[in-house]
Order: sequence, then C-alpha cells, then structure tokens
Amino acid sequence: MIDTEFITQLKKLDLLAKKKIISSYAGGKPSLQQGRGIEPVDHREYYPGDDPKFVDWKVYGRTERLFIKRFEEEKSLTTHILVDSSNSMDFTSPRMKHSKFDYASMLGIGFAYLVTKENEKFAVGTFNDGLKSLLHPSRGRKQFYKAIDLLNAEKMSGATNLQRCADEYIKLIKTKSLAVVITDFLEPVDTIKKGLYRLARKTKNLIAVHVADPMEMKLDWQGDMKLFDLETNTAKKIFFTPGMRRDYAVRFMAHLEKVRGICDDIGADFFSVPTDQDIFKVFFDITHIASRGHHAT
Amino acid sequence: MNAWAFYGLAVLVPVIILYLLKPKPKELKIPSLMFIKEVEQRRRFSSFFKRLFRDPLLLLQLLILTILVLALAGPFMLSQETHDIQEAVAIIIDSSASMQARDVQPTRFGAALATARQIVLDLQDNDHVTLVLAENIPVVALNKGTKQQALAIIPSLRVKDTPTGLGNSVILAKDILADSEVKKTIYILSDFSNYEGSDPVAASKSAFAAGMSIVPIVFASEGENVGIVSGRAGRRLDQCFAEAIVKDFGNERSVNIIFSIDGIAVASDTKTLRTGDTELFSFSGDCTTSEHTLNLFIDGSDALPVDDEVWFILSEQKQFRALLIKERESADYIRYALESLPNVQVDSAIPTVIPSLESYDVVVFQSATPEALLPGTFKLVEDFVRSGGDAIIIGSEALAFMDPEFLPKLLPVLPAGSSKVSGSPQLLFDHPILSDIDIESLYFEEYVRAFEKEDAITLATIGDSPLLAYRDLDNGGVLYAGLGPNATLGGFYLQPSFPIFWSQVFDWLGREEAIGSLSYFTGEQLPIFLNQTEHVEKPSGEVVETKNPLLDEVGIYNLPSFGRHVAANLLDDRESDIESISDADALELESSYSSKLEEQDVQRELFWLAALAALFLILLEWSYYKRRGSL
Repeated sequence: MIDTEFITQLKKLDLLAKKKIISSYAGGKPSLQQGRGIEPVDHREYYPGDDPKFVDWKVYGRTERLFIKRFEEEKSLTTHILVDSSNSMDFTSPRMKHSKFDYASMLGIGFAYLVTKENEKFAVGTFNDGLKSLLHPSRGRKQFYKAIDLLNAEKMSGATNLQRCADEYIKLIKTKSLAVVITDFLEPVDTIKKGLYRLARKTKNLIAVHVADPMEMKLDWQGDMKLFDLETNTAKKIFFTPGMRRDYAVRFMAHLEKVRGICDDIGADFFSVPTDQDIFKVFFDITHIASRGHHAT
Repeated sequence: MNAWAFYGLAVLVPVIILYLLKPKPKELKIPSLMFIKEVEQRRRFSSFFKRLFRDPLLLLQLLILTILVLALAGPFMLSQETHDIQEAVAIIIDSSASMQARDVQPTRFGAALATARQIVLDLQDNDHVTLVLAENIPVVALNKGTKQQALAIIPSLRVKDTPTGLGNSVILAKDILADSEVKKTIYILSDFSNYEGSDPVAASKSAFAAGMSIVPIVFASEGENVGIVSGRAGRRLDQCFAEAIVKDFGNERSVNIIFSIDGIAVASDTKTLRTGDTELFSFSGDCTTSEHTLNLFIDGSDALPVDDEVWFILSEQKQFRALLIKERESADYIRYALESLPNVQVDSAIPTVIPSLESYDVVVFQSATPEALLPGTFKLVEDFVRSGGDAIIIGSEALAFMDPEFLPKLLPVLPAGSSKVSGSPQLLFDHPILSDIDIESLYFEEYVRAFEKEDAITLATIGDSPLLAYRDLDNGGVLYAGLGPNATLGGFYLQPSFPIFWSQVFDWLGREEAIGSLSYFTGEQLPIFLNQTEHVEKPSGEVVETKNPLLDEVGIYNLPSFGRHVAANLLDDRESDIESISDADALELESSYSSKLEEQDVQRELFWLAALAALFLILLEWSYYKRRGSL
C-alpha cells in the first residue's frame, strides 16, 4: 500500500527531478530514429552532453544562451510504468515491511513523480500473464494520484508472463516512450527475453527493475518444509538441506544474470533491488547509472 | 540360530508408528517454486531414492534394527573349508614283536614312528592327538594331547616283544575319541601280521560306523625270518634239558642253534630248514640242584631277532627227605627210583615200625595193608599231611580192605578192589608230572579200581577208575598212583621213564605256588599280586616299579623281593611269521596316508558381521543427521 507517508517523502526526489533524469532518456540516448526531415518545433535549454549540432545558434545569438532544437519526435516522452501484480509479488517475508508489490508500486510511483515533475506524460499499468490494469498516458498531478489509486486498488493474481504483457502493451505505445518494468522476473527466461525485447524494440528506452524479498533470495530455512507456490498455488514437500540452499542461491543469481544479459543485449538498464533497500537510495542509484550513459552495472 | 531373536522384529512396529506420528512439516508460502524445482531436479540421482523411500532415516533405522535382530538370532553360513578344521586323531602304533622286523628300514616300528611323527606334524595346533601302542594289552601313551606333546612323546616310544592286540587298540581309540565333537580319525600303523584279542577289522568297522575315519598304514615288506616258535626246558635227574621248535618263514637256510647253561655254551646243533619247515632242536647238559638259566638262540641274523632266542629259568631244586614205607618183601623199584633223584634223600621204613615223620617232606606208601599199618600210623600220616607234608600212596587192591577211616580217608579216591579188565590208561591233563611220560602206551592186564572223590584232580584214568589223582588236604596233599611195581599193572616200573616220573613228581611237589611257573610268554603279566609296588628289573636293564609286572621283553626278569628270576619268551609263530598279512585287505590298506585336508561344511558365525553392519549403518545415520544440520 502506498501510504501518505511515502508520498510525503517523494519530495526527496525533487533534486532528481530537477536533473530531468527521465527526460534524459529522451535526449541523451542515441535515437533509433533520426530526426531528418522533421521540423524543429520547440527548444529546450542545453545540457552538457547534448549533441552540439542541434544547438540553435540563432537563439544563442539573440540570447547568448544555448538552446537545443527539439524536433517533432522529441517533443514528448511518455513513460510507461508497468508493475507486476502476479501472485508472486504478493510475498512479504516476516522481517519486511512491504510486500514485493508494494515496494514495486512505490518504485513505480517514484518514477511517476519524476515524470510529473518533468511535466511529461506517463502511463501506469499492471500485469500478470497479460495486461491487467491500465492508466492511459497523461500528465499532471491528477494523473499522478490516479496512478496511486490504481496501484493501491490492485489485487495480486495469476502467474507472470512478461511476453504476453508486452505483446498487448506495445499496441498502446504510439510515441516515443520510456518503459519501466518493475517485476520479480519469476518466470522462464524465454518469456522474459521475448517480453523485454518487444518492449525495448517499441520504446527504444527500457528500464528493468527486479524486485525481490531478501528471504526469497537467500532462503534462510531448512528442514522438513511444505512450500506453497504463490504464483501457481501448488505445494511441495521437501526436506531443505544446506546443500539445497546453496544450489538455490546459485540458481537464483544465475537467473538474474541471464536477465541482466538480456538487458545488456537490448541496451536496457537493469536494476536488482531487494525490498529491504531504501526506495530513495534506489532512485539515486538509478540516476548515478543514468549519468554514466544509462547502463546498469 | 536362536529363532526367538526374530521376535525382536516386533520393535520395528513402534518405530514405524513413531515416524507416522511425526510432526507436520513447516508450511511456507514462497513466491515461486521455480528454483526449488530446479534444485530438486538437479539432485535427481539422490532424490531417486527419496522418491522410492520417502524417509531415508526411517528406512535406515528399520534396517539397523533388522540387522541387530538378525545378529541376535545367531546367523551362520555354511562354507566348504579345507583347512583350519579341528580334528581329533588317534594314532595306533603296532609295537608288537613283529614290528622289530628289519625288512622296512630302519625297522617296521622305526618307520611307523616316523610316519606317526609326520601325521602329527600335518595336524593343526588346535587338533587333539592320542597315541596308542598296540601291544597285546593296548597302552595309551598320550590321551588327547596337543601336537607338541605328541611330537615330544613319539621318540620315546619303544617296540615290545609281545604280540599285538590291534583290535583291542582300535576299540580303545574309538572309546577315547567317542566324546569328541570334531572330525575323528584313527590311524593304524602296523604290519597287520598278527593280532590277539578282538578282530581289528570288526573293531575298525565299528569305529567307522561311529563316524570315524580309519586310515590303515602297512609297514611290511618281504623279510626273511626264521624263529623259535616253541620251547621248553626242565630237569631230568641230574641234567638240564632244553628243546626248541624252529620254523623257517623264509627261504631255505641252515639254522644253527646254540644251547647255553648259565651263559656258557654247552652244545649246538645245525639243521637245514626249507621254507615252512619246522625242526626240533634238543639239548641237555649237566646241572646241579641250584637255579640255572638256560638259553637257546639262533646263530646269525634275520629280519626279526626277537624270536631268535628263548630263555628258561630252572629254579633251584628243593631238597626232599622222603620216607618210603614198604614191606620187606616188596620190590625196591620205587626206592631205586627215588634214590636216583639228586634232590631226594630216601629213608625206608618197614611197617609196623614207622619213625617220626617230622623230619620228612614226603611219605611214600609203596604197599599198604591193614595188617602192616597200625591205626595210629595213619593218624600220624594224616596229621603229617594236614600240617604241610605230602603223601604218595601207590594203589593196590589191599586198600579196598582197609578201614575207610584210616588210609583211605586220606586218598583222593575211594578204593574199590581191582578190576580184571585190561586196558591202557587215558591221559586227562598234560600235567608236569606226566610230561614226556607216555603213559598211554602202558598196557594193564588188571588195574586197581577206585572212585574219584569230589575234591580230587584226576590226571589219568584206566578204565573207569582214576589211575593218577591227587587232592589237597589242608596244607599238604595226597597223590594216588595206581602204578605199582607189578607187571600186571602196566609194568610202568620197568619203563625208563619210571625215575623220570618220580623226578617230576617231586618237582611238582616242590613248585613255588607264589610265583608258579618261572617261564612265561611275552605279553603276560606275572600272576603276582603284590601288596605294594616292587622293583622289577627287565631284560633290557630298565627298572620299573609296579604291582603287576608286564612281561613285554624277551629275556630274564629279576624280582628282588622274591629273590627269584622269571623268563619271558615270544614263542609265537604268528608273530614270527612277518610275511603274512591277515585280514588287511578288508581294511582297504593304503601304502601312504591320504591328506587330512578334507572339505567339510563349516559353520561360520555371522553375528560379528551383522553387528559390524549395524554399526556402520548407525554411523551412516549419524553422518546423515550431521549433514543436514540436525546435530
């Protein structure tokens, strides 16, 4: 649940908002579509790193300030924030304050705050094995609170299939976009790969955020267990041994490495965030990475 | 196996129930089993058994309990073993005279000892050994001893000059081994040439039926032997005589026998014997009334020396004072005969005047008539006899007319007149008195009739009447002889053997009852029942202390406590016949003993194996607990 305390603390992101981190995804990245033949429709202030060839020297002559021509296609960057709301996101270990979905939602709202502060449009959607809820792109404070309501009202259900979600969602992407996928990636690598590929191909800019409860990363228990899969609602009896624990951790990290590799291939930024990490630290880490050229490390 | 131990399997039931009642596992919801499944998939090999056996600890503990129960049940395994089988062995070694034969080197007995030693060496350290010497009376040299004890005793075993009691030895060995519960084997090491007592074949079959293995081993070859198989010696008046029958068991050969008196060769004789022939060698020599040792031996060597000599002891002749009571007109033949005896001093008395009998040993009534003898005389004679004297009464018709309370009262017969029936005597006993007396060749035209009394011992008869009889009367004895100096009464008095008869009568009267004969066969025990252990010096020089001297050596034995000597001789033609093997084929003889390594079903106890298996599984369970972090 995104509570008012969190919303109040979103002001911590104001500094980041001033840095226009989100916008930088629109300007700083080599565009897959060159703006040839597109008339400049607007200007924006020059930031270090912008391509000098787009500096409007005429305006500089008049104002002695550097401005960048903004072409039609650069005019708007819609941020599409997709939050996994499958059953696996409804997991909270005893020591955690928030479930994975709550944490993912806070991350999503954080992104929405940044976008709103940059006066850009954003959309928010939830998914499991397909698109569930959708808040169509819009901008402004009203849109921001609608997003909060949407996420707070979300019920966890079903399994995760990012591929199917991407197939549905990319139909809604009309303009230049930034996709932020916040999920636990607890699905086969193949569907993750196809989903990320499709989103990245459509949006050209993709941020993948992996959220995981610390307990599910380490599985700090052993002995006779009866485990219930939240995702599939199946149960399994197992005697969990330290050996099995080690194997699990290895496989978990290997899975994440595969996802990271996929993101590297498609030029997406990948972040793995345990739910016990401070939300705002996450955003600072993101901006730090963003300043290095939007590559996740 | 202890079948009751299987009831211990019932403990498995509560163990199973305990597992069934185990607390439920911890339930936990996790985001996804995706990685869990992958981990479990990876551990497919080890999880295979987990699929089959959901709880390995349960199975492990059930297995441990089952093995422990089986261990208590005393499992065993039968296996064919060819070694390390405890065995009880009896080795019968024939130590009879024939085993001294030298046809097998060094001797049959020596070869048997070597074989016995090898048999013992082949035994295991935990085997039992019994050694039996098969003399005519079996001797147990070692009773269920150890291998080492047997090896120490074997060299000390000695061959004897006795016949063998092989069958008795087998029976003895069978009895000794009877209570052993291990493999039992009886080795019979013998030349199987002769035996006394029980049939060794029957005894072996009995032992075999009792589950014992019989291994006969023959020690015999083709040996040339000639031996003395019979012999005797004695006195004749002032001469010693010795006779020997020699038999040739080998090829034709010349045999020379040397006769010695008290170690001095006095005569010899040589005769040629063919295979199987027997010859009588007779010798005589001057002798005094003292004790004499006579020896006959075959000069030369053959396969068996022990039967090449015989020994005789002629005891010192007892001196007799004899009173001959005869009527004046009676013939003096008896007097002459008595006077010819070197150990008899004869006084004559003519009834009715009879001297005191105190100084006499023997009273001879040549003719007794009621008129010649006063009643008091007979009372004196009766007292004389009862106090230890001997009376010799010549039979006559007149005895029948005597007062029965007088002389006839002493007689071993009841006089009944005379018989006019002619005939010849019949010898009933080969008695020393009649030795070499051909009494049956006498012809009686008439004879004195008499009836044998109940306590009489009749040596010869004539018709229906005793001719020669005697009886003991308290400390003395009375000899009745119907051999009067009358031509119609057989005319014995005219025979050359007449004085010999009287000589033998007095020899017999002078015999030592305590010892009896002074010449025995080897294998006999002296019929002396000593109240305490006495020293006996054997021919080999060995001195033994014994109550019942066993004559197991040929030669002269010295009995210091009796001040006497006795002689023992083999004189056994079967023992001397070293070539014959009697009933040996029935024993399925082998020339060498077979290996004692036999396959047997050996019961191997598996308790320790089961206990070790259980211990191993317990350690395995402990390590399992440790591995999964429960400990």
